[in-house]
Amino acid sequence: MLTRKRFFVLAVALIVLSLSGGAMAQDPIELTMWTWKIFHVPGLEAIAANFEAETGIKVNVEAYNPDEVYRTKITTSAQSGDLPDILSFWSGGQWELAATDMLVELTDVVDESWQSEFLPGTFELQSVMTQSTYDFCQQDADCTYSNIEVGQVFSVPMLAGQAFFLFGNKQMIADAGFDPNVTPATAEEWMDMMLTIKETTGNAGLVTGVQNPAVLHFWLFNPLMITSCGVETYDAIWSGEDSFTNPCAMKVLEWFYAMSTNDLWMPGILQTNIDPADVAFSQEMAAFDLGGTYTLGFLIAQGMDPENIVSFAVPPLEGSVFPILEIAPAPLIDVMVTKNSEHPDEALQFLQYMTTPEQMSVFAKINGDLPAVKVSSDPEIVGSVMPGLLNAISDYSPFQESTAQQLQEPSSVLQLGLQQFITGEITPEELAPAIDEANTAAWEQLGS
Amino acid sequence: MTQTQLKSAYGSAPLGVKPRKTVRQILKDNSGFLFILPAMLIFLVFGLYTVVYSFVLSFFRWNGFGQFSLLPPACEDPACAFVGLRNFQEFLYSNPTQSQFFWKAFENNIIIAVFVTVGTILIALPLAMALNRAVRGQSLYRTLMLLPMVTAGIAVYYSWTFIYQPNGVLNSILETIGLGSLQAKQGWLGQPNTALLALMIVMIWGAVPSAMILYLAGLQTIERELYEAAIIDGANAWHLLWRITWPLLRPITVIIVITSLNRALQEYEMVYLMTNGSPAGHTEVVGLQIFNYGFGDQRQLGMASAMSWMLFALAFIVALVNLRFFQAKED
Repeated sequence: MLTRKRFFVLAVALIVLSLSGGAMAQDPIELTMWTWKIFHVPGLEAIAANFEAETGIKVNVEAYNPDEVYRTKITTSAQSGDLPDILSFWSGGQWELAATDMLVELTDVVDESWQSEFLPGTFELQSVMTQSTYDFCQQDADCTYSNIEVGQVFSVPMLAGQAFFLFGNKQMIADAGFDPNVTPATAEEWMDMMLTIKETTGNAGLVTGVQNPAVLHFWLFNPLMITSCGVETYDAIWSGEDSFTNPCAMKVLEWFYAMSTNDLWMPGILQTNIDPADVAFSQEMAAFDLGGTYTLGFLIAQGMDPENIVSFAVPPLEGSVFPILEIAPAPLIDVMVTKNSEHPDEALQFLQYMTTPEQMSVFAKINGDLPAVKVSSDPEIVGSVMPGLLNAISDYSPFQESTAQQLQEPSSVLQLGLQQFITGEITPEELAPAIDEANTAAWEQLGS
Repeated sequence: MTQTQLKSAYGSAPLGVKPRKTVRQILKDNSGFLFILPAMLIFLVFGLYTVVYSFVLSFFRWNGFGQFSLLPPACEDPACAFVGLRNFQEFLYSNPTQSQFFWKAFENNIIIAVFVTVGTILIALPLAMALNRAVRGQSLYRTLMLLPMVTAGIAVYYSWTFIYQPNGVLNSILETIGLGSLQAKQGWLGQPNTALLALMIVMIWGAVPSAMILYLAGLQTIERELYEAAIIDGANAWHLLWRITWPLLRPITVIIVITSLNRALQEYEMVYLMTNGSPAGHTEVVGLQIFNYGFGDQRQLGMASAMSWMLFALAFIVALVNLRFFQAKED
């Protein structure tokens, strides 16, 4: 029979043995990755499963939604040192994280071979600190990443895409007497199409997420203005050296105004946000939907027949400097390794693995979203949506040449004004000087 | 007289020397303080500290990354910098665009505060008076009236959003009863002339039940003899309401007015979910701007804190004026 003393000695020995055994057998490495796109989780988990099969390293993908919650989660976790190993973040937004020493520097890690995997216009424009971004930051006393040097890299692009795409309901277009396979060459032609569709079928012309004030500005106003004015004038207007009353900009404002006076927006458009707008289009509540590379997958997921959708780039106004709008992909989401990671080498290994064309094809096939990596256009490999998107984008876009910095104040006035066209509260002649005034004041405040 | 004599004459301790207390005695003497100690600690850590933190933060520019803390003091450049009163100056007057947006939003807050408060009282008081009368099915009516109070906010807001849509219930009803000309073609939340009103109706709908309960409790404390005596003296229904009910319910009204004003000035959740400030900024409120500055793309937590403190100051002044007004009436 065990005495109390012998029992105690045995228990201690067992504990010591179990602890030493645990230390000898190495724990499998587990990494954590955060995203704010719940929609992306299946694609990322598929890559993680492949990675685990090859390396034995498990990657847990966690999503926090919506955007505001994700940003707040990162802020609070950064304060408490609880950031995950791998973080996904809005492309271009990584500088603020890097400036506060939250990210592992990748400047010497992303070599030429890795860089060559990315689509043109993604890595070199947003993942590397460019001279123009650096100069603008140094000029702004409130810039929060002024300690980042030109050429520094802290992230790599994962997802690319671009707005400026229009999706048309082929049946509605055909019902109004148009050939649905012939897309309008100019914005005026497109408006005439919408007017005819409205008169003949009673359907509204256009739907998009107008409730979000940035949508009309970035998805429709900017492409019309850069094609109308050309890059040089476009940059001069935004930098306050030229005026929004310039005829090339006025033409764009007048076109927007005509959209409202012709009553071509879907009823209730000011209450409609991005996803509800796509849903409304899939329910045939408007002939056209303004979106981006990410929209088509969503429309198909809503049950729309891809054969009934025609897609084309926003057509420029007549007499524009650029007669067609070429659309190059822009980086949307970058991925990065945080300094809180206990396994930075393995996290970096996952970053390299996930941005290979093979793994991004896996992601693209599951999500129907355009990767920032050159992937195959074979539908067998990337799914049915991807080849169309890849064909629609080119290597060049006037936006790549533009160095315009669109300050917050004139942007706010423009965004409000474009909505006020719909409510009939302002005219182009009133709006243009108001944007100029806000633009001049904002640049003066910056000291330039 | 010796020390021993003094002790026996004046109890256990000599003159000028306080008797030594036992631990039990100390605990007993301070039991009240000890009971509130846990609550005080929670308040100090989660209440006072956060309030002081946001006040100090309002004098800084900080994007939420890097270090900003009070204990120990830290502000890590370039994510954080001391800017003095600049945050306040910008949205109040020095940045024309920003100040224009702020004052427009504040104007909306004031409109909401006035209309929602008056509307709530005008509906809650008659309902409470009706429920105060002994009628059959009184408990059923009370339950029905309290439904808005116990329904989850998000469900309520989405339901109302559907009611207000261009093809929603409200427009359909108007069409059915032959008042199609009154329909809001862009939806009741989509037209500048109806959006704020539509939001205020939802706010009133949500505020009436709690106000009604307070009035009902107040009505039940009024002696019936007062009414009987007044009726004998020839008072009509209007006199009873204006001379007896309303003055005696004044303390309840003060509570309702202050809570309603406070809620209206801080409103953001419903606006965020139902309109997000649209159409064209017509339903923008300061709370929504604070949220967007703090948690939106801009990440200007210092600016958001400065706006919050300004809103607090304005709400405080409104509450003070209101209290003075009712006090003057009472005098």
